[in-house]
Amino acid sequence: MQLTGSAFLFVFLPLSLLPVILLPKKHRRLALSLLSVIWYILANQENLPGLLHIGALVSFAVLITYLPAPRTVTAAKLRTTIGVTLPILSLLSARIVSEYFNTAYRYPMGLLFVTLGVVSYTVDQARGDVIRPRNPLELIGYLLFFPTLIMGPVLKSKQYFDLTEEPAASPELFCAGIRAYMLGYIKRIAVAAVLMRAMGDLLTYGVTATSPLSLFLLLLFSYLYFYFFVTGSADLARGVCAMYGIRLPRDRGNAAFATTPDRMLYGTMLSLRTYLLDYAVLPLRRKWTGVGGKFFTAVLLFVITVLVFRTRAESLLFALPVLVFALLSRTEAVKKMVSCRQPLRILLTALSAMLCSFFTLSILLKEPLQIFSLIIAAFGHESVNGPFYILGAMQDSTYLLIVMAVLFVLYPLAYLRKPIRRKVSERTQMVLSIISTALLFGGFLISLIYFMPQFPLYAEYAYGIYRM
Amino acid sequence: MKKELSVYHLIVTAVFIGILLTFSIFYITNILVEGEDSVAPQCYDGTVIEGNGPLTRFSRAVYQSKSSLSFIHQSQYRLFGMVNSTLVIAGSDDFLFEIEDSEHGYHYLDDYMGNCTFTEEESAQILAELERRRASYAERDAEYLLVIIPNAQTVYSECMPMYLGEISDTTRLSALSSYLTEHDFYHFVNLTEELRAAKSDGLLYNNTENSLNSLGLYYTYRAIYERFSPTVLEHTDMIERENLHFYQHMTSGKSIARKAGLSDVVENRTVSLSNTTKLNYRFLSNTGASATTILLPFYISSDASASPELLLQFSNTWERLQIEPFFSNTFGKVTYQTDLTDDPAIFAAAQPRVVIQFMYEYELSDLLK
Repeated sequence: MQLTGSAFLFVFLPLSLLPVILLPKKHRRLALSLLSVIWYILANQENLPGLLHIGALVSFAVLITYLPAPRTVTAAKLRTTIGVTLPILSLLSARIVSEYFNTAYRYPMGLLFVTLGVVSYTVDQARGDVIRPRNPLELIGYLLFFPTLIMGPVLKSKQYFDLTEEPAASPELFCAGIRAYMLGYIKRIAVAAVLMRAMGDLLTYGVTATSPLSLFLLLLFSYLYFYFFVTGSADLARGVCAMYGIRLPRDRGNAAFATTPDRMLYGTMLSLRTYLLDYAVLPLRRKWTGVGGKFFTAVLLFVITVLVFRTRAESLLFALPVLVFALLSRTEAVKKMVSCRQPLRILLTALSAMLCSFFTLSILLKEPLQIFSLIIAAFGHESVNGPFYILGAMQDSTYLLIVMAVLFVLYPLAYLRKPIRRKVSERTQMVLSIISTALLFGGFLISLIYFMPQFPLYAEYAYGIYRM
Repeated sequence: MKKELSVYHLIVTAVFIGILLTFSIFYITNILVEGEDSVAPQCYDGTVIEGNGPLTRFSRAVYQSKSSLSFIHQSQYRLFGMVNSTLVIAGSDDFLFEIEDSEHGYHYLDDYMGNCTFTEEESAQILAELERRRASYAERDAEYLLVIIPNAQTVYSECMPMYLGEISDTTRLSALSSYLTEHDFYHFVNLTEELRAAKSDGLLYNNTENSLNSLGLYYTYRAIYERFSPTVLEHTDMIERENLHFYQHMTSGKSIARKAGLSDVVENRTVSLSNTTKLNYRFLSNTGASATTILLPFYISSDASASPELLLQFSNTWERLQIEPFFSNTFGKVTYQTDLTDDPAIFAAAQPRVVIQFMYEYELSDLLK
């Protein structure tokens, strides 16, 4: 029962909105916490070991929070170390077990975000920069805050308790939530899911049938899938939160316009970068100053980000081109190049996406090293199948061609959005807003009627694709 | 402006809530009113939602909703000319083609593109098997003939999706035909050319099933008849095309359409033989495994009449029923067997001079067993 699931959308959301909105503001956080617990249990009812794992982690966080304050500095440091290390170890173990061993254990939904929450609260508590929850249920509510559990945004503890102090629902915010939710839904169900199926179709024809075109399509689709999945999930989370009266920060940078591939990667999930900077990189940077320290911390930030998406050494290998380009982009010559005119920027964006795509494809393949086999098959022998055959092999080729054409048209328009907004009157803006809302409703309805029933596993259990 | 904004917010909120409630009510009432009848056996992607919890039942009502899936299949076919199945592709002129036949381990598209032709060793094995069959019947004074009916995509290759290109010259059937001829084995008929030539007369195959219709089977009969010896041709009368009336009518989509969930969307253009066709024969016996007819007014053995007794073996009962008027109206005694096995009891009763086995192109690998 994730945010695109039918039971969530048609049952849980309508039923949960009323009590939260009707309750007095000061009780809304508690209500949301209770809803988060219910949602988590319902969503994981078929994964008892996973549920127990999360239960243990949450209990540990509650225990460490409500223990009497340590009297000595050493005891405080020890508590923080345990509070940080144990959750990270449990996350790593779960990731490695589910990645490399075929056991009965199933990776529990949102373990990454629960772990990040525990670490955030423990560190903030040690720093003395924390808002203490009114009761343990509110802390549990923070750790299991359901709108952000699938794919973020990552909320730091203080940020969460600030945002949920007194959620104020307003018609404007509610509408913004509806718009964000519908946009996220379209991205996830009408675009990302179809791209996923197209990749499956291309891979079904096996390594021997791979041609340069099918390899190119695989790379392109994997990047687009990654972008639409991650940003779509963030839009869903923002939308649901806004409907409950919580204004989440925007989690998407200008990934679509990034001229270096690392910015493209970070830009799809800004909150993760901010989180890692705050809790891991900046404290180290303060200790290791100078060029060496900067270099090391930049590499560290990159490596952690990559491993967050997939905890496998091969993923680092395929992310290497992104890292090399990212480091190169720090040099003056490249800096000059990327601050160039618009057409070249668009070209650089495309190049960055291509560099990222090897990594994004490695996340999706069960065996990331399969990419090498695909490359060898694509260029190693004369292709048997022509372009028409490859397009025909994909069930949704016509639809995808339409989507690509729409993206091709909309992409340059996205560059012009801000200048247009500045120039037009408030009334015109209102008209544009109405038109875009009508289009969103149309897309949302089509997604519900036509696309959602085609992707039951994807709509209900997409967390399995990216183990977050 | 503020007033406009609030009206805008009200409308957006009302429409959104309205959509959610409409869908909830639709799916819930579907479960309550129609029960399991409203639920398809599986989801669009072939998965099945199991369990009886309230949430699982609701999910099943959504993802396995018959009406919803039917709408999707129809829209996909009508908008994009596409079908949801790893087993079916949509061709032009409302033709549906199979992709794979798991029963015979046969991949239609691979064969169409010439990617799975028989190896030299396999061809030799098939030749040996056919020689064995021929020799086995020859021992019992019967001629043997294998009739290979090509796949619908072989005859109607122009209806296959454009991206697949033209049919390969090295399909299993064409390669095997060449091999058999090269090795001086002539006891087989590859109907490809005859059926291609007859296409101008009308539709020969069902557009939603890889099978010949009545008209296609008439041309099959004709192709076989023309292979008999001059003595037989002299003493029997072939039914001429102008003496037969075929009519086309629309029926619900056949097996391939059903596989793709399009039986209500893509209708089958069924071509049948007119009911007014005179049946100048009667049944001598009719058991489940075989049926024998004799020409009226009475049966005269081949020794006297030069009309050979035939044993026709089919793997498909429907075809045997459709071809029956042509053969039974021509030959003195015809026995129809509903499988290709060499059954001594049926053979003894039929006492055939010619044994004709009908086999589809996709069944050729059976000759390797």
